[in-house]
Amino acid sequence: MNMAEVKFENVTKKFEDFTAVENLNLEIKDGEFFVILGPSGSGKTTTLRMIAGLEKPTEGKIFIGEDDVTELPPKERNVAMVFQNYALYPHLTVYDNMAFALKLRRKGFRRVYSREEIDERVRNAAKMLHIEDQLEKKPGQLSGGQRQRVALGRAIVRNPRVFLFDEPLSNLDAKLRMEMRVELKKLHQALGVTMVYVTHDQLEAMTLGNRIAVLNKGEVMQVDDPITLYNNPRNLFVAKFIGSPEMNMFDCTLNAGYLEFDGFKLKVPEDIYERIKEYEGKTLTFGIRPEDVLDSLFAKELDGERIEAKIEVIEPVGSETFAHLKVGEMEILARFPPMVRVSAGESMKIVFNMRKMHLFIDGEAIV
Amino acid sequence: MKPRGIWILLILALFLVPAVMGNVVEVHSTYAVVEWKTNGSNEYDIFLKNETQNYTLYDVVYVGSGGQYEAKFVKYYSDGWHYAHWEGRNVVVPQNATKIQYSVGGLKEKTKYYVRVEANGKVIAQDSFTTLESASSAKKDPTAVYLSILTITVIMLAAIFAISRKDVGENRKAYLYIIPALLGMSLLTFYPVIYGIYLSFTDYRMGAEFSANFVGLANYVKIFQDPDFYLVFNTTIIWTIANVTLHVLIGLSLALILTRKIRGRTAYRTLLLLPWAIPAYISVLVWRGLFDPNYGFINFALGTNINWLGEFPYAFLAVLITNVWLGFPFMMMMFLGGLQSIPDELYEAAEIDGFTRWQKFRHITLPMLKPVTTPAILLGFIWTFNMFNVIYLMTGGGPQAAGNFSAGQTDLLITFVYNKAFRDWMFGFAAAYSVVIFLIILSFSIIYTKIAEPDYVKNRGFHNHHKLLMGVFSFYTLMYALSFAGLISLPFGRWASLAFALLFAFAAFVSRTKYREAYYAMLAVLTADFIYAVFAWLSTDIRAYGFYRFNILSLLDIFILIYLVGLSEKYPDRIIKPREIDWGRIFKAENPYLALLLLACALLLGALFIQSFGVYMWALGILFFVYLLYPRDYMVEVGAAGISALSLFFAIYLQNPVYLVPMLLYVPAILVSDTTFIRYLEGMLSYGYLLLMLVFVIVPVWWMVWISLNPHNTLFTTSYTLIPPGATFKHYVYAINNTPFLLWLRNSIIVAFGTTFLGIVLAITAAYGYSRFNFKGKKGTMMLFLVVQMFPGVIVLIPYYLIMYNLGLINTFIGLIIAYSVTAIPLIVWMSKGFFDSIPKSIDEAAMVDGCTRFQAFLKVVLPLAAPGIAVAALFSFITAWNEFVLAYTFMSEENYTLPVGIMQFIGLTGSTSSQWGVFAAVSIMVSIPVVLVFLSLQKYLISGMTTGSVKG
Repeated sequence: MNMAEVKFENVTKKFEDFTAVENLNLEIKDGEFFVILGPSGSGKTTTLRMIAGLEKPTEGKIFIGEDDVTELPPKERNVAMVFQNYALYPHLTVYDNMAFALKLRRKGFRRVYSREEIDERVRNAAKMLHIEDQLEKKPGQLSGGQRQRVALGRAIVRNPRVFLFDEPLSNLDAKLRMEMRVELKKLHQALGVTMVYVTHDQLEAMTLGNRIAVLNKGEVMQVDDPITLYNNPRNLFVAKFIGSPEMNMFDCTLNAGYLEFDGFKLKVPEDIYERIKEYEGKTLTFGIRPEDVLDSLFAKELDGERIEAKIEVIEPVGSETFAHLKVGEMEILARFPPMVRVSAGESMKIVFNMRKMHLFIDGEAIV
Repeated sequence: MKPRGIWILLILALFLVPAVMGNVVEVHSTYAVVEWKTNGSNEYDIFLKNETQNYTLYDVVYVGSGGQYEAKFVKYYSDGWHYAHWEGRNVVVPQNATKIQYSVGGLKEKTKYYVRVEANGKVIAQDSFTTLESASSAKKDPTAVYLSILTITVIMLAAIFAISRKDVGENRKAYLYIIPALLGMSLLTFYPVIYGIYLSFTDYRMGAEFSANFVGLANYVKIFQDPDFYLVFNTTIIWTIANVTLHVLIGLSLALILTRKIRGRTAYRTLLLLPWAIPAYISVLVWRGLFDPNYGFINFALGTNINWLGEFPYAFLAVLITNVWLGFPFMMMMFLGGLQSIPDELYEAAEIDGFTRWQKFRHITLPMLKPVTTPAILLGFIWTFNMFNVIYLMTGGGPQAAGNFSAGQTDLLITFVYNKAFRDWMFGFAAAYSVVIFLIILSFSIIYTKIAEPDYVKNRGFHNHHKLLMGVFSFYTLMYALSFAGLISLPFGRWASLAFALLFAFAAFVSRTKYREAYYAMLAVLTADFIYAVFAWLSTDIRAYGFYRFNILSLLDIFILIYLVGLSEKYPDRIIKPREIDWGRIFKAENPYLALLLLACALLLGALFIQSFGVYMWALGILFFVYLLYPRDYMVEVGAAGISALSLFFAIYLQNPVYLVPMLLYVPAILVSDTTFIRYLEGMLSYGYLLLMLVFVIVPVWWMVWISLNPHNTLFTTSYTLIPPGATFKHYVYAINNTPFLLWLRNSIIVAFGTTFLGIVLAITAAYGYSRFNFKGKKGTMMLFLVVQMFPGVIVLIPYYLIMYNLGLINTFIGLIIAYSVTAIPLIVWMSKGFFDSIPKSIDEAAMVDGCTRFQAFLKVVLPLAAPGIAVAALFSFITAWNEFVLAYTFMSEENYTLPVGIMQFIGLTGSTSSQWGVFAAVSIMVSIPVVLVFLSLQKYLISGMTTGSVKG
């Protein structure tokens, strides 16, 4: 299989009335599953299309492997793309859809791939994707998941250097999406090709990517592996975007080693305080993930302050319970393990795991 | 409808009277025969006048040398009476004729005329006469008609009742909604059709030779023995194929160009729609003026002096160009809609997968356009086949055909039939012709839809297509056998092609492995055969009687070609296209010497042909040089560029532009290659083509304005400047004050309004029924509405005329309105149904829950919501009635003329000598402007209404 790294060097893409991508720098490694994550309008699809060659950067350069492909048309970049709407040729059978690109490749009058070679490639890909039985059918006769596989097959058969995915799972229902995620991961492990995957779903990003680039309004917010993104978000945006349910965020003031909230105080652990001494007196944003908001009864080892909270709504999911709490005017979402027994309308005492807290000033993380 | 003997006697008596009277020897209702003795002069001028006019020259009879007039109008006496005969293209009366008879036609009934014959300025014969009342006005039998109407109504209601019994309670109401429209359609269409079929088995004649006997299949036998049939059929086929091909090619190419984002494309698109918006009868007459041999703009612009409408093949070319002008905008709009529905992602995926532009076009655009192309071609075929207006108004059937024909050389089946019915009053015979026409169209529609239908490859066995192919080739074999038996004659060239095609077809069926070779061989043979047939048709030598009869097989060629091409689409696995065969070994890009050697061999062969080796050495050098310029991968470009350079060289060296033809090879190069140079070239060519088409569209409009402002009322002009010298608005003023223009306007308004009103009343409830209910007869009856649109008007026209005549409705507004409703009802049903569909059913249901009955919900809630859409449908039906020519022309007389017929009067039919072009142009413009404005502002709705209907059907 071909492999190649993809590099963006100071790439800017401007459309007539707005800038989609500003001064983008990315390095996608050989063979990695790289996810570009962001809300709609963040420029992630534009970025992907620039790798494909469907858009040309206004400024900057793009490299695939050793080659500067900025000026190259798509067909010469040796990339394959899987579209959100599959883009299958409706009048051709599955076999023909997958074989087509290969059949039409020519050098002068010669065909690049012989009939046997095409047949072998198509059948291999079909086997890999479990669609050998569908080869004679037309796309109209297939289900959404099957069509998605055909689109995948079409890309695999080409043996490209880079696989590009444009939100391929958004048209599938939830259950199918979960199955396909696993399949995609297995596919990547089997093929080992560089894959660039665009999505707005942070769960997909987390489960699939080796590394994730979080984009917002054309700028890269952070590029890291999923766990790092989750545990060490470098700015407010990433912190809010990653993790479902969202991180709890509150404003507070740093005052003499304490974070002062509306109605209570939290002591900052010593080592952390060393790092943030300079922000004494400033307004910070305090972030804490729901699973780090604990029932004091089950967190006896923690030595944080116990805070009185009123339970407004509980959502028992079975494996855990989401509790919507209110402390004064602040609304906190907590994620309790199943043994915690709470009901709406009651009061309880909660404690924060201060080692897992996040602090932001002006959107940037300081803890 | 039995003959009444006493009337025949009376008419015969009237014949005898004028025979006594002088030079006029026969008087009928629309023509009279003048006779005079020759006095040795070479030329006799015939003058005619009626009570109100002065003598005008009617025609000239030449003796000795030939003249261009209808042979059957002239008889001469020389040992008995003979018809003037043809010599080459002229009609000749020989020197030894002692008496001459001339048939003065086109007269009005019950009118007094004066006729005069002069030779060398002296009057040698003179007479007056009064034309008869058309004897046909005596026979009216309404009771039979009322009975038939009653019967049909009862049958229809019974049938609907029977079907509705099988349906669920709520759905039964649906039948109530569709009954008015359905009943209207059956009375207005099915009844005339059935009556027409009955007529075809009689020898019904109107007028002086009235008769109505049952003759069984005699009419049909006569048709197939009639030499006219084969000539006209041949013309019609070639006319249809040429038109549909051009329409589709031009429409598609323009649509492709207009989907690109070039500046001002909405303006271009609107302009290109003008031919569609301007009423057709006006456009056709304008083109007639443009093609006028003496003063028309075409001859002026080209600097030629071609007798466009009077000489073959120029007449055919003229009507072809006119019809293409009229028809390509519709195709363009359909293709534009189709192109827009192709998702961009397919092209992007193809781009990434490495397709060239030609491959994208061939494998994405064309297949995705099939849902549009198929109905477009089918509709185009049906409309063109029956295109009456263009032929009738431009050439009247065209220059007389040489030989033993009474038809003209641009006569289509439909104009020929029309004349048989309304000029010769041979209704029975014409009805038989109509049935034949209908069967031809029907069979084509069936075959074509079967071919174009998407099909799934179930197994590799025998399919319907194979059976079809076998059937067609059996027919081929039959023709072959018949020619052996001497029953039909085959030009020798086609024996061979038939034999080959047969052989390969046989091979195809016998041996699966040889399928591919046989397939391509058949394709090649049939294409060659068809090309041969077209060339033979164009060359004046082979236009003999036998050839026409055989040319019907050219039609089969087309069917089979379409079928074979369609076949390859469906089984791409089974048929390897030639490209997929490994030609690579020969054209290996890595071995230029081999390629060059091959090219040199080809050139040497050509050198033998031209016999000029020195030149070829130069050419070879150029070729090699060109080859060196291009990167080795682009063999196609090399080939095309090489041959183009060669041809350019030859053209300059030999001073003969014919050699530029091979440069056409750049066209496929453009399609296949993708270099930047080719892209620029292609862009420029596309733009140039677009501008060319814009000029094509605008010239007639400009000319029409020009003529309307030209102070002369005739076409006379010495040259064309942008604005006519002495431009004046006087024609406009004259038109309004001194012509029946306002009367015609009133008549048109009455008829159009009446049609729309009747159409809406009958159709609206049906549209609602189809939209809301799902009942047993739904699909069937909907298909009925669609099929009815396919009936050529000619089928209904003749029986229609008789029915209306017997009811006394000829020349009444009611009659015309009812006739127009035939087309209005399906149109309104289709379009309104679409609008109803867009209103969610839950609104009706909410209303019914709130306390309305279904009908109240329809009236009070749904109808108001759909009102804008229905208004559009009504507007279109209004415009269709407003622009209709044929029926109005056939049914109405002077005081009841609608605008189309009235406007035509200013110019008259082909060959008429008095025309008021200025007034005509002024009136045309006044009539066109509102129609065009309405049309252009509502184009979107019409397209969606028509395409959804036709795609579904």
